[in-house]
Amino acid sequence: MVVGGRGTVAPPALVSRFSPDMADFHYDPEKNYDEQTLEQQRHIEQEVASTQALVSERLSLNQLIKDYSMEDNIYQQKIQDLRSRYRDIRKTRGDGNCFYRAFGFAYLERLLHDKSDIPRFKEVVNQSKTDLVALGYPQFTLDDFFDTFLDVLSRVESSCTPEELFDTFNDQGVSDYLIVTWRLLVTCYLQRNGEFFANFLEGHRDIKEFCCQEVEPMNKECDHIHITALTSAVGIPVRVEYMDRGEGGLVNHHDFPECSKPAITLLYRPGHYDILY
Amino acid sequence: MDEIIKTIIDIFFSLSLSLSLKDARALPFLQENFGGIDIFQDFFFFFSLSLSLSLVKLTLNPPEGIIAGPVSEENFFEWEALIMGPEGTCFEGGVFPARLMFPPDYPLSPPKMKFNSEIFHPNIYVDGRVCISILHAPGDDPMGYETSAERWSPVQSVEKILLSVVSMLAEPNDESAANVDAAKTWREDRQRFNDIARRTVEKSLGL
Repeated sequence: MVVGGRGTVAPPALVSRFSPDMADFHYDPEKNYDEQTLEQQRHIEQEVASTQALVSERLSLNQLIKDYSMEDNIYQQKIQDLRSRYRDIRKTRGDGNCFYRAFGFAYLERLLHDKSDIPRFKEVVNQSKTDLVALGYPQFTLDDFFDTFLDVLSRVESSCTPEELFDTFNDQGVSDYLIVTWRLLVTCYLQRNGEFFANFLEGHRDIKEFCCQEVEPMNKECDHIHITALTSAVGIPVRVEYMDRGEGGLVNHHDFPECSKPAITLLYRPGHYDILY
Repeated sequence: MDEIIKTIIDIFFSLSLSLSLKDARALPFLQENFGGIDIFQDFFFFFSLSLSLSLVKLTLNPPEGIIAGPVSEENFFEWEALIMGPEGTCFEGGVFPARLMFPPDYPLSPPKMKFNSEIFHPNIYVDGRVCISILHAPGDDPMGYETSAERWSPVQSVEKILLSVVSMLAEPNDESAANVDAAKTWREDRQRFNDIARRTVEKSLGL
């Protein structure tokens, strides 16, 4: 299962370079096509950024109905099924970081109402940082991200309002620093349990390579293995409702870890995660 | 060489005095290394924090054959680097100046690097831009790097980039060429490649 955030956007430069429609295309050695490809990629990212908030307001699930055509029976049925169990949705930007952003916001929002889990969670975060140093990550680089993370957590503990949390998550700088920290928590857990997780890797990569390529870089999408690692690392169970084109009219869910009592619920639609209420 | 390092340290100190910034998270690290110099307290702000720390680290403990630091006090996001041609290679003895351009959201996105002098090399564009995997996030795959190649992530460092550039000089990767002509020459006519490299070295020294 491949899941994540920006799967639906085809790389357009590839189309323009290799599409059979471009029969009259002539390679010009003076032109830098790689730059053009990256430029176009940036352009798409900017377009996504200008139309989607990092984290949206809480919206009624009725909003989803018009995301799909009325003739699309499978999705319309599944939305009805969702509405029988949930009321609202909070959307996140499709930038490849959506799982971490949705997970992070939903958890911190929950902490605003029930602060009892904060000391335990802080302990986990601090321990992970110690473990990362032991794994060879430079302390001062880690400090940069973890300090921002713990600072936001402390504000949630003391005086943060829901509006302030919302603003924090929509401040790109801070918001992305939080994403880096979640990613580091995943990389730490994966590497410390490398023997187990190596069984789930495809190809010839070892767990360290996998982390360097699929976990630590920004905008790399989240897969089953990331979610398993994150929920185990931080001890925050999550339910994911999978809304895809499968038959049956009902939306199936999966709890990470299995048989847990989920603290937060996310909606998965192919390539993207949002928060459910 | 000592002169240049001294200049960089001077720039760094004057920078710390002239800029008014708001983050003191680096202080413990600096106190450890500089014996508690208070002027650093105002120096660090959000995104350039890791940049500042990279600079301190590079200045205190420079890797062999590399010198790097900001070009001017006005612009902390543009660095100049001097790369020595690695020993035992055709670039040995050369001193190659380069620019590093950091994006405003560094270290979330990688910097760009460009040599100011002419270098005929498979992984350097004709205009000097460096094309190696660590300067790209996975997904940004212009050259179709092998999947195991080192990529950019926020926990990478300037030092790591510069070291990768040195090893790129020592061992060109002709599989993903930015300069096709250079890649072909490297593969098929090593003697000619070495001759061109030697001329580049002489040029870089002003000979």
